[in-house]
Amino acid sequence: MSRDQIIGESIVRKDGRDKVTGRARYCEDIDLSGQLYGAVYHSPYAHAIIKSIDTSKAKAYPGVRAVITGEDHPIRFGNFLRDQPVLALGKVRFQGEPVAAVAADTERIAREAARLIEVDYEELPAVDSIEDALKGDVLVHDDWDDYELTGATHPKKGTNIVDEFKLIHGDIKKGFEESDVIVEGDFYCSMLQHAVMETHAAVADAAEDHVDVYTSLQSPFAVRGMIAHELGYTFDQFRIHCTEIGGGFGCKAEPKLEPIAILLSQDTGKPVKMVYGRDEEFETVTRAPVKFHIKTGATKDGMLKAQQITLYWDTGAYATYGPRVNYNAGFASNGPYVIPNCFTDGFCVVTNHALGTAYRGFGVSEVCNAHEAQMDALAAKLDMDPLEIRLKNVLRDGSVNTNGEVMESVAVAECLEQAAANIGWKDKPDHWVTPEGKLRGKGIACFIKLTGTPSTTSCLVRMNEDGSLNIMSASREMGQGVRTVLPQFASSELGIDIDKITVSQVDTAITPYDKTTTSSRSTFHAGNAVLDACHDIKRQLIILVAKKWQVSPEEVELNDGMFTCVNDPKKVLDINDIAASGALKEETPVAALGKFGTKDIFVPPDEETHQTSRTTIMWFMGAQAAEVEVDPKTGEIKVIKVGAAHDVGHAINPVGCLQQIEGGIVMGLGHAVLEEMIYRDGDLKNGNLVDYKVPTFMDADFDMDISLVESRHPEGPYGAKGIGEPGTAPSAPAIANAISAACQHRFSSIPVKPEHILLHEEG
Amino acid sequence: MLPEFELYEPETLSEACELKKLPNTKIVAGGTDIYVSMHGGKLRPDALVDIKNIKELRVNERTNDGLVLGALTTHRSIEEDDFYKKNYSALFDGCSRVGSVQTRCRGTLGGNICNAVPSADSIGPLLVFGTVCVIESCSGEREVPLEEFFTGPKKTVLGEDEILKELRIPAPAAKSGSCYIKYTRRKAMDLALCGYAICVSADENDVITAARAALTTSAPTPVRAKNTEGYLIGKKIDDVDVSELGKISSAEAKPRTSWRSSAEFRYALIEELAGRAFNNAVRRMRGE
Repeated sequence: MSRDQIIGESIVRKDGRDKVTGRARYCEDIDLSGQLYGAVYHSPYAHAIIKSIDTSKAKAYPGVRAVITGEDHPIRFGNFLRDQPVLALGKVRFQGEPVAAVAADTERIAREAARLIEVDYEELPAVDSIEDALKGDVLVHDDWDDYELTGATHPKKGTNIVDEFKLIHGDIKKGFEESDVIVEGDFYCSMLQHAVMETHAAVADAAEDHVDVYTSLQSPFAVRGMIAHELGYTFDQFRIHCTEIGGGFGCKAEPKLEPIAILLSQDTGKPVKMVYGRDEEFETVTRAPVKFHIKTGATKDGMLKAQQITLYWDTGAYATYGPRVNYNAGFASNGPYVIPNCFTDGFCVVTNHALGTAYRGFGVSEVCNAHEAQMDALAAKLDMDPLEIRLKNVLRDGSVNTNGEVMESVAVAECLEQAAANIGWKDKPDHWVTPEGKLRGKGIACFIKLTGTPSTTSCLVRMNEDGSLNIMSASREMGQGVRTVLPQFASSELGIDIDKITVSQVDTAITPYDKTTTSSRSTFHAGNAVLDACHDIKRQLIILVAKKWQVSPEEVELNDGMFTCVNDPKKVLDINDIAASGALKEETPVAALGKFGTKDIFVPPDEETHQTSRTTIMWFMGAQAAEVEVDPKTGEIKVIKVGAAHDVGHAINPVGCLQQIEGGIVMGLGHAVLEEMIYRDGDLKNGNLVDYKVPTFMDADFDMDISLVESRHPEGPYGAKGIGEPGTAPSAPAIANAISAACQHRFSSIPVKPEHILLHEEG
Repeated sequence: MLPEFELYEPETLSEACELKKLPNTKIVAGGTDIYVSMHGGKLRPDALVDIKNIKELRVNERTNDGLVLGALTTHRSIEEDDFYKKNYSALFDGCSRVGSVQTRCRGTLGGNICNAVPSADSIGPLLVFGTVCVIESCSGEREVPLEEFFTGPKKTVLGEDEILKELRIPAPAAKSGSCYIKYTRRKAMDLALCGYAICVSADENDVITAARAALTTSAPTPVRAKNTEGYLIGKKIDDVDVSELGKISSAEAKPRTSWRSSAEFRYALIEELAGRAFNNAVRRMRGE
């Protein structure tokens, strides 16, 4: 492959071979010499006071080395609010909450001993729904003031509300007065499981003044920040060795087993390994369910005038990433539309449910369901085509977004038209009946999402003695392809063959700082940092080549991987031959630090209205359209085709972009028609992978036609934008809208189930 | 993780019957139900008797009178042999939709029956072929018609030393067709939310001479739908009113409301699936 084409060429992912052959090392594959095994005793109750804990039987079980409880280690942590204990303190607040932990010679002994822990509980009434939480008769946390604020969240004293976010734009009252038509609706999205293949795991080896932790976390530096000091270490002493991630999607952004394994290792003086079973995983972390009430006003020709949204997230028993979900979703809540008057009021409430946290999209897929159902309702009321009404109102270059920001590099109209064309939108009616009596319908949806700003990253690019490169970046490879894309940037910038560039595994003691692997930020942020480092590498190499040629560095140029001398056309050196040329020999090593941060472009939003001139370094937009078939007699739903078009800025590795979107569509199919965690009286009924229905390959057997729209980002590496989360953002909304069109019945919750279709009742 | 247990691997059926009497002991064949329950902590037996080494349980005989299938017959072996697809279509339908390829390679007919859940995919089809269970104990052998095998959800007639040995499945009449419809939310690795099995035979004038129908996940145990059968027998195929058939079948069901689905939804499904299964069975009978 020619070097100048490396950007935009589809490259086989560099982590692919190891992963499909089973060579890749995940956390469970790590074993340390002399290690013990840990197991957790979880709360069977959703809400109860811990009156006493008797660990004597567990301690007496042969092979047990330590049993710990919250009382032994009263430690709390939290990214926004330090409310979450490592092991329950005084009270349990959700079914599955870790209460005590055991370290033993074998995993079986540890698990058997954990069963012998006896806890005397006084059961409390559970806050089992958003309504219960808002009523506030029972408080999940007695007093928010008991906890230290560690981030942007706004708990309301004496309530179960842990955060409120408002987005206020224009004058909502005036907006509705100016509207000819108003549609009002409710929407509900179910509680979801990330359903990653690899359950949470950790191996810790703790000494008094340093600790090594092996884990598959997606944001190692953020986790270090949340727990290192609490566990008695400065950051330099707290070393996280990352393994491959068997699926992240947000569920590995926070500490789970790591602090427990460290405490057990501290107590026993030995390494401790812990791996959750699937049953434990189900109660560990979820996507919060959310309820919307949404009112939209427009003129009779379909121009949006006003939108008011109230939304409630059930973030579970502790704040975790809930406030961030509320923030990101709040900014995205109106969709990619020009709406002169908006009022979003988002509440994050705590309940006695499993923890709702980051999940691919940080709430954006959920709000997209609500605003896109509204657009269809409005189109129906005005007798307009759903595509046409969207195109009339979408953001374009120079439009003012509902946060007051003037938008640039906007291609959502193009995405809508392309996604629609990919399913043959214009040739199909909204809904029709097949000769076999099946109902068909089409649906479309578009979304907007910001990337977390401000944030920073850095990387180290090192040339080895043989002229190959190592890139050390803490942007974790979790399927999004960062381990392939970063070498593409370096290869393009320097001309080194991509086969000679490797991204090293992440280690917080060695790899330079990166905030998180979240928010679809890696290609953009780490990519910019790699380019920054490569400029320096280039400068260093020119000096070395000049030295070898005995000319001044000003005479040497590096273009497309060839060093040339401006004054001597005979002097030519391929960068791939640099080691053989001897130019590196006995010279000081070639290495460079690259950095990228977005603090300087960020204009902090107004605290009340969240209006600002620059909220984020990068907005993501895209659209998907779906055709579905419904069997009116059995309620069976079959997706016929999904068309997608996403603005990726510049597709660095097009096949990687397509894979992200394909995976996102299948994930969205699960949200639209299959997935939900079902609780009855605080008890999880379907905590296994048969009863919690993730789509199988057989369910994903439908046509997908995906287009990559490329509207260059002026600040992106080669113009790239992110695509990690966006692939799934409009999938469920497009499918749900198509189902509603087919059935000629507006469903106001997902998943849409056959039962809802047959009985016209939603659960 | 599996809790600790004693594992016995007898070579003979009589040995296995003796071992089954041990306290808190379970028989295991493919293990696709038992090991899953043990991993999740729901089941903690002191001992397992693995019967996979017992050759007597691997019988596979085909005669003009019908089949004798050993309890260890796997779902996959039924799925992969076109003989069943052609002659025992409903059984093929059921066995080929159990779990995943992996579970079908491990899971057995005997295990599916003895686990006795109302959603078992092979049971409805076996009921409509008039299957008889041959049960072995320390004191000998007895035969029980499959429809009398279940006494409640996860409960069977098997005594403390009894093991299901084989299934005797009579050959359907020459002009017969059968079908099993498994209704699921997902296309693979799912449990039947509702199952409908039917087998009909007709004479040269298209008069139905024999009919059996069975409902699964529609009552505490898999059940025969005798009123449905009564409605069909003696009728000309073209005179069958599928909407009436559906109503009769639905009236025979006793589904319950659970978090998986409401009873009302299951009644509606049975009403629809009855006609679809019947029509498909007739199409197969006619070689269409």
